[in-house]
Amino acid sequence: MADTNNPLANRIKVWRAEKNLTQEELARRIGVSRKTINTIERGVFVPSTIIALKLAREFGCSVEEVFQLTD
Amino acid sequence: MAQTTDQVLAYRRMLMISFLVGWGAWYGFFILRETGLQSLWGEVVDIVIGVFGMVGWLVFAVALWRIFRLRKRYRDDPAALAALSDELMRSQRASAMRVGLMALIGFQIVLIFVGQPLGWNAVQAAHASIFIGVAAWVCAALWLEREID
Repeated sequence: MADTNNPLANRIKVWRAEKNLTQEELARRIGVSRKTINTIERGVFVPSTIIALKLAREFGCSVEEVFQLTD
Repeated sequence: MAQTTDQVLAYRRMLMISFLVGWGAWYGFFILRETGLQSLWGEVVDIVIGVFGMVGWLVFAVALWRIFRLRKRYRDDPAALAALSDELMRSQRASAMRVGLMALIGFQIVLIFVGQPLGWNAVQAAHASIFIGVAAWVCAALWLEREID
């Protein structure tokens, strides 16, 4: 369940599906645990800039295309 | 890496539970003896509790040894080590330590009121405080690291 208080929305699941990546594969590629990807995807955990940049690089897009402010 | 990060995390969680149960039994029974609370029950119960305490110490020692061995196993694999201690886990670890510290401080405040009526000296109070603090810390770590899908 996504955290409704989280001011940050993300499209990681969509990008993962597009790139045909599982959470485990994505986690391995950016050097974190699968749980971290899972919690970021569900909006439970707000990642650091470094992880956000690594995710964007992995998906081949800008950070804004992965993360958006909800307000 | 032979095992996936998920498998290693599950194994580490199991080790933490063993650590908590073993250490809790050993140190808890040690505190009961130190504080003289064992006088509340008979000799047979005292022996049974002593045996539980010793078994607890064994469980604790094995868990601790396995934790060190796990760390050693991944020392030469920086990528795996980084995944096992990423920013989510570091943040959860810091939160768990905060819980442990708050529990310890809270218990110290409680001790101001109940320490004297119980007749505990400073050493006994220190043992009990360490027990509460560490138990709260490990419990909080286990709670925060639980898997919710």
